[in-house]
Amino acid sequence: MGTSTLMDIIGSTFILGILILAVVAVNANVSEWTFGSTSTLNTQQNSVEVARLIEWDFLKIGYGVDAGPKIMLADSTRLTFYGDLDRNGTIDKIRYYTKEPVERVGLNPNTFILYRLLNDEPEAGANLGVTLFWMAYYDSVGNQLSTPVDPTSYIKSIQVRFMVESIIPTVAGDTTYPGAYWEKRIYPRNL
Amino acid sequence: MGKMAILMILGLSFAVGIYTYIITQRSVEATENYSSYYAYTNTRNIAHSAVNIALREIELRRTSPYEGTFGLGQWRVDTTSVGDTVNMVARSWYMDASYVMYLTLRRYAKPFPEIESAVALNIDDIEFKVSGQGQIDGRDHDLNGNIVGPGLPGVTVPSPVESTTVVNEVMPPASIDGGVRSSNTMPDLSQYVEEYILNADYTYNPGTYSSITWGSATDPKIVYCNGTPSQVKFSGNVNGWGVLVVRGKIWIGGDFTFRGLIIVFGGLSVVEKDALATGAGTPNIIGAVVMAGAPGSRFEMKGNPKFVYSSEAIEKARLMAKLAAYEILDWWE
Repeated sequence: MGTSTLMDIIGSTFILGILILAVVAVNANVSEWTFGSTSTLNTQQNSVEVARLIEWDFLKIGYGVDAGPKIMLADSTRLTFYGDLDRNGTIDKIRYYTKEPVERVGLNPNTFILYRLLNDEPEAGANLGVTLFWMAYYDSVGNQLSTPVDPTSYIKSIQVRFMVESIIPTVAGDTTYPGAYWEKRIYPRNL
Repeated sequence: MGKMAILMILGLSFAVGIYTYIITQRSVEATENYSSYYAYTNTRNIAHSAVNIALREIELRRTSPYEGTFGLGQWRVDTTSVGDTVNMVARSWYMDASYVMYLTLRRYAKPFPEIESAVALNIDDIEFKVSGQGQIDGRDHDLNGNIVGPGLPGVTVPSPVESTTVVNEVMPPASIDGGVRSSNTMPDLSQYVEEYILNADYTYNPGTYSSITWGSATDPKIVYCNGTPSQVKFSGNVNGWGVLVVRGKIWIGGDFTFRGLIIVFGGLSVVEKDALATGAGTPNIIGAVVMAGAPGSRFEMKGNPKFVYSSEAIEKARLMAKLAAYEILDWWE
């Protein structure tokens, strides 16, 4: 084995080492990026799910309710209303609420469970990363009504805002959580 | 050594490919998620717009179903009507999203003046002139001017002073069937005329017009005549249905038939009959006339005009499509 061959082996070993280090570094970065992007994606998906659920339900407030109140309770974080959600002739009772005091769940200390109960189903809820859930109510001329609203028959539109954050931090051990904010004034046509 | 290098490059390429896939896949999913919500909201907006279009189509008396496109979106609305209730199913499609709404609406007429007589003259110190064979008849008539039953007073005025003026002026062969009554509940025309003017199908400025048809029994129209500073003159061969709104002065003569409501308001207003119409036609108002103006405004009948009350003609005018509004009874989406 000559000096030249020895130099080749040392050189190639050095290059291999650099390559392995590069791969390890890239892998670590990609893993971290994937973790963060997955967390962001989940947050976005959760916010869209919550938004669609709220729109689906709230637009049906009072549908098919010919007698009696259409909204039972209207507070800043609680709403109970009636409506035929699936258009089957049966009036459903829907409750949206958060626990008071707010029960924090998950790795993200800001998140809590937003409950959405249909009729008499038992209380259960998934942690979708909700960190803010707030509602305001307006009468027919756009005046905001003080909460809890009484009588609820004054309500003609509902302003909803919520924020969803990732239930896990972007980087393990960090306290940064990607989030999405949604706000909308909903005009249930049956009110 | 060469084989090893090739294998390493292939392995690295494979790893880079996987990393690229992982990195881009998240972005793709995020974009798909966002575009899905965008498509959903866009589809909903299309369905809402479709309902508005369908109401307009109903107004134009076109038959269901109504269909159309908005950019890349499509919509269809099916309607059925029972009496004044309109059931509507609105569907829309955009990208891979679809949306459906079930509506029940009640159709009603926008505010309409309360008709108290064949001719209501809410004018103090009215200048009421009759010469010839003018007739005002408060009995109820059909659309052809045939008497179908008892109706309303012939004329209402603000006070007994104007009542005396009218009674003293009407001498045979002119006549008022139903009498003259003073009323303090005469309609405030300012509540109505703006809406009518904004929705006018035809508008006329001062001048002379003839040979006109405004609408039909099934499609009454709103006609606005701006008779200021000088009069709008209809000299003959005019046939109309609906609401005729006049601001200022109007002169009606010749062969003129209008079925519905005539509103004259503002300033010195004149409703005249053609002074040369002794054999050339008879202005014929089937429905009602409501007139309000400044003190001393003039109502003048010459020749052979007929002002007859018709609840049927008034009802057709009241329920015309342009004056229709909808109340939501049920709305599912």
